[in-house]
Amino acid sequence: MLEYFALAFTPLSLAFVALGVILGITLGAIPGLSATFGVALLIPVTFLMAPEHGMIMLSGIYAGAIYGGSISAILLNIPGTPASIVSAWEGHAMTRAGRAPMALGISAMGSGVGGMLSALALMFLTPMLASLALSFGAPEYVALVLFSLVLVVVMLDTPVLANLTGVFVGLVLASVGTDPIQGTARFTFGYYQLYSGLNVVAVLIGFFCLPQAVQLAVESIAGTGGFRVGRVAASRAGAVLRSLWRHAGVVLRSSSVGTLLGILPAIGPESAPLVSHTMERKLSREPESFGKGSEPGLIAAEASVSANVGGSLIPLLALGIPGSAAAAVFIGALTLHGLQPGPLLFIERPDVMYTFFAGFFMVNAIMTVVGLFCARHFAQLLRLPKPVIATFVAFFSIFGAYAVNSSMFDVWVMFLAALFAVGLRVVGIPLLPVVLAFILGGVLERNLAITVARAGGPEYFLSRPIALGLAVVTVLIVLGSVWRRLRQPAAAPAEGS
Amino acid sequence: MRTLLMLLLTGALAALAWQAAGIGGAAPGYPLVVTAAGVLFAMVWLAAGLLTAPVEDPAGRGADLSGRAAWLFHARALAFLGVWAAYVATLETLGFIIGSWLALCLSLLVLGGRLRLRAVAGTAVFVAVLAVLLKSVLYVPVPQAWADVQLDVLLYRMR
Repeated sequence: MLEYFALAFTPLSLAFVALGVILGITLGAIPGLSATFGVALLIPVTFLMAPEHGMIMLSGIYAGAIYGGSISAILLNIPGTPASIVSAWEGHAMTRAGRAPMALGISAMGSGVGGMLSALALMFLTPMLASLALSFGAPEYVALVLFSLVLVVVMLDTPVLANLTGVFVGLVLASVGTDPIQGTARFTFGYYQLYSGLNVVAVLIGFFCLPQAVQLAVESIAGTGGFRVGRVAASRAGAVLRSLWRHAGVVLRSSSVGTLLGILPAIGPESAPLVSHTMERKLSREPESFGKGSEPGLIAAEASVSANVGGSLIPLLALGIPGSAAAAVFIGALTLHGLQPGPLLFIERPDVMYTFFAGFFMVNAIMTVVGLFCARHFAQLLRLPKPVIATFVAFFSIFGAYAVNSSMFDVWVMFLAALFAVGLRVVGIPLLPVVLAFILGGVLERNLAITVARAGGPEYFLSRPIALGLAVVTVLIVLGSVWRRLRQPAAAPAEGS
Repeated sequence: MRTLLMLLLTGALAALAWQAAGIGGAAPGYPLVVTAAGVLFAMVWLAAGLLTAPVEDPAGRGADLSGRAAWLFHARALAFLGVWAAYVATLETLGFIIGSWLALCLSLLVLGGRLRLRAVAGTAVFVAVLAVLLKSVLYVPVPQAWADVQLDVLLYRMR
C-alpha cells in the first residue's frame, strides 16, 4: 500500500495535482461556471492519462472549483458557485471593512485544512465501507440505490413531485439501450449507436456544460456585463494561521459536518456551509457577529464545503453511489477508464485507489498554498468578457463530447441532452434526481432482475439483514417526510427552482 | 411555455411506455414500469402546475424588452445556438481547423456585436495550437479537411 501512496508524490502526479487545482480555481472563480461543469467538461481530457492521474486531476478540479467560487463571493458578493453563498455573507463583509486579504487567506487555508481532513476520512473510511460492501449482493444494491433515490427525492428543496418525476425521467434515460438480462434492444429507434445506451459523458456535458454556455450567452446579449475588480493586497500567512489556530474547534467540527453530509447523496456542497455556519453560530459566544464579517463564520463555511468534496467521494468509490452531482460526473471519468466504482475496485486496482487517496490529500495541500498566495491574481479572471467565456465553453462542450469516441452522434446526444436540461429547468424539474437516477438506473435494473429471479418469497429478504435494514430506513425516511409535511400548515405549492 | 413543455415530456414518456409494452417476452417489465410511473408523475406535476399561479420565468431575460429590442435579443440568442449547431453539422466537411476557427469567430461576433482583428487572430492562433496539440501530443483524431491535411504534412516534414 505504501508504494501506491508514494506514486502520488512523483513529479508527474504532482504536476497533475497542480494542473487540476489551477484549472478548478480558474473555473470556480468565474461566476456561472460550477465544479460539476468543470469536472464534466474535462473528463474527456483524462482519457489520455493513467486512471489514477485522471482521477487526481479531476479531484483537483472539483476541490479547486468549490474553493474558487469563494474568490468572487468574497470580493464582489457574487458567489462563483452555489456552494459559496455563505462565504459571500462573511467574506464580503470583511472586504467592505478593508480586510479582503485576510478573508481570502482564511478562505484558502480553511478550505485546504477542511479538504485535508476529509482526505484522511476518505483514506480510512472508504476501504472500511468497501469491505462491508463486499458482502453486498443484488438485494443490498437494490436497497442501497432505492435508499439513495428516496433520499434525493425527500431532502432536496424542490417539490417532492418534481423530484419524483425527475427520478423516473432519469430511470427512463438509463433504460435506453439493451435489456441487461434478455439482450432486447429498447428505445434505440434503429440507431445502433444506442445499443450500449446513451454515452454518459456526452449526456453529462449536455446537462451541465452547454446550458451554462447558453446562459452566459443570454446574459452577454442582455448586457449584464463583466465585473470590476481592483488590486488586492497579499494575504499574511502568519495572521491567517493564527486565526485558524484560535478557531481550531470550528475547523474540526465544520470539517466533520461537511464530510458526513458529503456521504449522503442528496446533500451537496451547497448545503454543508449553511449547516456548519448555523451550528457554529449557535455554539459561538458572539453569535451576533455572524453574518457581519465573522472569522469563525467564514472558517466554518470554507472548511465544511471543502470537506464535503472528500465526503462525497467516499460512497462513490466504496459503493458506486455518488454523494453529489459532481461526484456523479466522476463516474463518467471512471467509466471512461473502464473502472467500475465499488468494492471490487480495491481488489482489482488497489494502485489506482491508494494513489488517488494520497493524491487527493496533496490536492488540498497544494490548493491551500495556491489559494493563500495567488487568490488575488485569480480574481483578475473576473474581468474576462462573458462573450468570450460563453464561446469557449460552447466550443469545449462540443469538443469534449466528440473526443470520447470520436463520434458526431455523441455530439448530437449532447445537444439533445442540453435542450432537455433547459426544458427541465423551465418546467421546474431539478437536474440532480435525473442525473442520479440516470447514473444508478443500470445498477438498479440489473440487481433487481437478479433479486427477483432468486427470491422464492418474502422470507428471502429475512436472510438479507443489510438489505432489510436499508429498506426499513428508506421507509422511515418516507414516513418521516410525509409526517413532517402533514404537520406543516398548508401553503401554496411553489415552482421548482 | 411550461405547460407546453410538460405536455411534450408527458407525451414522450407515454410514447416510450407504449413502445415498452410492445417488447416481447419477459423484457418489458422494468421499462414499462419506469415509463408508466414517469407518465403518471409527469401528469400529476403538470396538473399541479396548472392549478398554481404562474411564476415569472427567471430565464426569460428578454421578456421585459419590447418590439425591435426583443426581436434582436431572441435573434442573437438563436444565432448563437445556430452557429454551434452549424459547426457540428459542417465539421466533417470543413475540417477541425477551419470549422472551429469560423465557429469561434462567428460566436464572438454574435455575442459581442462586433469582431475585432485581435479576436480573429487570437482564435486562429488558439485553434492552430490546439490542432498541433491534438495531433502530436494528445493523439485525438479530429475531422480532416484541407487545412488539417496540410498541418499533418507540415508536422510530418518537421519530424
